[in-house]
Amino acid sequence: MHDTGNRLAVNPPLNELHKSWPSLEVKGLTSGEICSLTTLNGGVATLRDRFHKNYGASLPTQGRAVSFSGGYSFCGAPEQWFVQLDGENAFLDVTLKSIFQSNGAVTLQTDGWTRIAIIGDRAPQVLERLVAIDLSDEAFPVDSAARSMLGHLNVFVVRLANARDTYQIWCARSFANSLTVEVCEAAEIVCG
Amino acid sequence: MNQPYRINGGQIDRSQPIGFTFDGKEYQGFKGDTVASALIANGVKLVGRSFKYHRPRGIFSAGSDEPNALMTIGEGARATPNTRATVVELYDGMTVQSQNRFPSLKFDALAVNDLFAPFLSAGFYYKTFMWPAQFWEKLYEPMIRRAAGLGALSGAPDPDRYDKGFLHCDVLVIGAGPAGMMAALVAGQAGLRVILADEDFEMGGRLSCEREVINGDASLVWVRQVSDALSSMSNVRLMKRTTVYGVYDHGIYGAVTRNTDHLAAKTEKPRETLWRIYTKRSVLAAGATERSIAISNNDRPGVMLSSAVRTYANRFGALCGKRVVVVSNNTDGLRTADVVRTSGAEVSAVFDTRQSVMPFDIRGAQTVRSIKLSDGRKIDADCIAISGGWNPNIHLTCHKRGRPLWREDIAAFVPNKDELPSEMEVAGAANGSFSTQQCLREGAQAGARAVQALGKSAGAVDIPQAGDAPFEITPFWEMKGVKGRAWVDPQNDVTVKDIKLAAQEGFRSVELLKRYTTLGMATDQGKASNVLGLAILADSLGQSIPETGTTIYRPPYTPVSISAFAGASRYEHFRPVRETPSHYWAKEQGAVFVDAGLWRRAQYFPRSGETHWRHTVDREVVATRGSVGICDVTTLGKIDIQGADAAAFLNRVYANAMAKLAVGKCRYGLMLREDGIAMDDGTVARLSDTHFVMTTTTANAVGVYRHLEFCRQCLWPNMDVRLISVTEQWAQYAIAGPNSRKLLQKIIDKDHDISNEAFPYMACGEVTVCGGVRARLFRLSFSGELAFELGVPARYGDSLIKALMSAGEEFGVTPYGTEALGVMRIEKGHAAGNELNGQRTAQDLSLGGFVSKKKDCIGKVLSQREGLKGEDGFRLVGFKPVNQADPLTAGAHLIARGNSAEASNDEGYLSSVAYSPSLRSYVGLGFLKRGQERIGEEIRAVDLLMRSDVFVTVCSPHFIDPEGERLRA
Repeated sequence: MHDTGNRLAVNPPLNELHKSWPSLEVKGLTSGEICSLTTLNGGVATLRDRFHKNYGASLPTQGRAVSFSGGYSFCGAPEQWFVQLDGENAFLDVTLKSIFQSNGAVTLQTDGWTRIAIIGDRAPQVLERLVAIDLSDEAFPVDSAARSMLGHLNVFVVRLANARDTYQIWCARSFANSLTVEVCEAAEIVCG
Repeated sequence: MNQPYRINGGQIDRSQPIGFTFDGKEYQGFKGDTVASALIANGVKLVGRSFKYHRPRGIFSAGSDEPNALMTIGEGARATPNTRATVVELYDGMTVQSQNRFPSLKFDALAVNDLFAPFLSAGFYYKTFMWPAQFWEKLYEPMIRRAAGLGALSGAPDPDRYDKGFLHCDVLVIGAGPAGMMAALVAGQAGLRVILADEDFEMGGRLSCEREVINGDASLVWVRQVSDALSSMSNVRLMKRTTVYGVYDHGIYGAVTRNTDHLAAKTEKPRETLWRIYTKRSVLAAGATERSIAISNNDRPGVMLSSAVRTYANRFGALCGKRVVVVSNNTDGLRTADVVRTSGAEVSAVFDTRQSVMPFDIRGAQTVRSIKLSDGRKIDADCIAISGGWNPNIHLTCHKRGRPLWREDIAAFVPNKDELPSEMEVAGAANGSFSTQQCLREGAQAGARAVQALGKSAGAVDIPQAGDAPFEITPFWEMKGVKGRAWVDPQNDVTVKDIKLAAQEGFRSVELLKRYTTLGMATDQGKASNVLGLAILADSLGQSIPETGTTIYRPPYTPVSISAFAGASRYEHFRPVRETPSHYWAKEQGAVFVDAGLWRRAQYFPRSGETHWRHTVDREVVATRGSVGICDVTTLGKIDIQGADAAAFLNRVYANAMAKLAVGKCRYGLMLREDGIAMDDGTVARLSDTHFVMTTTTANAVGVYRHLEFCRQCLWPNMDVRLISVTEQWAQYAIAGPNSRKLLQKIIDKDHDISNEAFPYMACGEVTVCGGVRARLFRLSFSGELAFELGVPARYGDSLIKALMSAGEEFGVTPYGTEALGVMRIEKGHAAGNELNGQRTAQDLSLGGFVSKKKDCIGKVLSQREGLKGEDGFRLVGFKPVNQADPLTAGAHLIARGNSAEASNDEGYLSSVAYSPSLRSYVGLGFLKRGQERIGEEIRAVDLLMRSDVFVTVCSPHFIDPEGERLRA
């Protein structure tokens, strides 16, 4: 943590988003740090090895996500992953570079994304209003990730193992308010 | 309340009476009624006026094919015109209005049109309103539109909510009649994910309307059992009130669900939901639509489809008439006669055209009174039930250009199995199989085939036992031998005579016939009339129906409201908005925002007393050039580029050299398209040997990123380079002006030296600010002043702008927006979007020297094309008005002195202009032929659109600090 004692306040998007309906909760996710990780020098095997060694989990394959102690990762594109680690560390990219060295291109992405969690039994119903992803257990089981359009927004939808019927939507930060409107409108329609 | 035509039976709930009004008069119906069935039960025959002749019209059918009973449902902003009364569920308090009449339905003044019918034949307006030409738009068309047509929108904003969604299934079954229900049952029992959709509000299809027996019980018992079974399956989704309106590529179907139209109390729930259904297989079991026979005056209220008469009696307990004449060319007519008789009405006559035909004319005015036979006899009647056969509902089979086939035995078009959407099966009446037994069997078979196609096995299925009487028909389209108009398409007032006239006039193709006569257009899309019209055309031409051909159908099957397509994307949510981290700070400062793509950017920051945006912008420019200003440049595209080959990669995508850019330095870069035209410009900062950050213009951020990924993935896949957008990751501010360094020195942590010596022009590096917050600092200048761009992780963006403003108080720091930014870049002579407009080359931009001769790059070869490289081409130069007070306008064309302002003398144009508060004059940038050779020349800037004609002096585009001393200070 290089930035302790700084004088600038942190203003993540959706800091105050937390709404609930029967069997549904929608909340902004603001904690944790995110980096993009891609292979360099053809070093995918090394990258996988180092990831496993450090986080006790395998880098997920295309369309998949993985949870591990202290974070999770999902595959965003061929040989490209997003890694989310709990806690605050604005220098996470520096930390990860030291792990993956010349085999991984690491870019800080925490501030590039806004994330909304849709939690509860009715989460799939809300999402079927929003994204063209087949959300069935067969097509989109726990530990899945997919890129989709949500309204006119380009998003990732991530379904994680640590909580059944919890979905995360990742969207470019600048769209935070538009995303909130879309998600809350759908939630209101389904549960209101 | 009296319902004189209500009889026993039906599926209405008599314990729930419902009051409604029709044209202001109160009536009563029951839950389960449609508007049409309730009106019939109340003895209302006259429900509308025809499109062209304003003839009285009554309810014709009992489904979505209804051509006549189009009504406005609801009041005020919720009033919905052109609604088919035959599919609208009745609710308590419903207000129903007839349409297209003045002053009243009973007395419609425009019924006078009918007297002029001989002059209003097919295509009359093409022949009549030929001259004077200008009268068409000003007089004729508005007049025709007012006189003809359908209902009117309220004009008020739609108060309802609309919704969209996506569904996925293994098998989509369209139609919940016997075939559809069997298909859904088979697929559901096999464990597949099934959607069963039907436009009706009850399951059962025709079974709800007939007195069929299945397995020895009334068919509705079977419908209930199967409905219950399907409802209990978690893998089956039943969707009533849902019309599948279109078939699209890749197994995608469009559907719309009406959620609240049947509810008296309007809720916050969406009125309609538009679904995009992704399915692996589909079963079309959409049934069939009965058609009519062209008989003299067959548009009188009381003339109905034979099956509709049965539907109203059997399903709704409503008699369509007390003395009914049945006319039929098939076995179905006798079923109607039987239903009428057993419902307590009189069958006045049955005309089975398969045996003999006694021509007759239908008499009456606002309702049928009698028929008059050609031998002079008269038969009293108040309802004529006509069956001209059945048309399978093949519409969805045509949406991907499938052409149906004619089947002589049923005298109807059926789906062409070779041209179906690849995932589709067709079953039951939609396939031309009309008996209930056939429907049940085909539904089960189609379901089983869908199951097998998905690699599963369908269990053994018991096909229920039901009626299997053959359908027999002898085609009979038109009753000849009686004078008087016979209607083919009642919705569009198309008669037999119109079709024959069209054929006579040479409109022999069915496609031309449709457009010339309007046959089969409007809300019913010819469901009841197309085949009849086609048969009459074929008869006129003396050829068979297959020889004549048919039109095919396209989406939507039934009308879909524009609101459903819009969903929630209305008003301020019409499109998404991008906001920078300091957006709310800027809002608090009173910023006026401008849309830059989806971004909302602060355009300028007005202060009290400033009465014109120019006052504000002038102040912002003067303050920045005089001391220091801050502009949010977060929206500029930022791309992170890493890898051992990153430098080589950039060297190929930029026209100028990038390979040797030193670590800790920035460089301006010009990117060309493959065709040699300038694509975008920006800067590249080298953070390490293998790590670069590229900036792009705001407008081209996505396009440039896509271009780079194309280069990386497709052109040079072996290069070791990776890209990711960091536009959103970093909040970035331009701090410009002579005091910018002093301001930054208060923000940037002390261990970073940003003096001119340590951090010169075009330097870049990682720094920390405000006690350890990581940041990136670039010494770049778009304004031409001593300037920096400071980026911090976006989470700190809001607090950084506040910190900068606070720290800058002693220098009178001023926030400036895109307008001031634009003024300063024009003063400095920097090209921007107006210049990088997709038409100009590097040479045009006076940046020809940037295209390196030592290396290859994208666009280099084609930029050397003949015509692009000539010395007499356009060149970017500056312009000043000769008379300092003259304003300039962007877009003005440049004409040499003494030449007239015409295209042949056009020598270029002004691309960007601004009032320069620094020079107290307008200045402009623009492209002029051989511009660099003409510095000092006086020419005209002519803008005919803005009525401006100004003398300007050609000059260097660098109006401010041409030597660059300020930005290197």
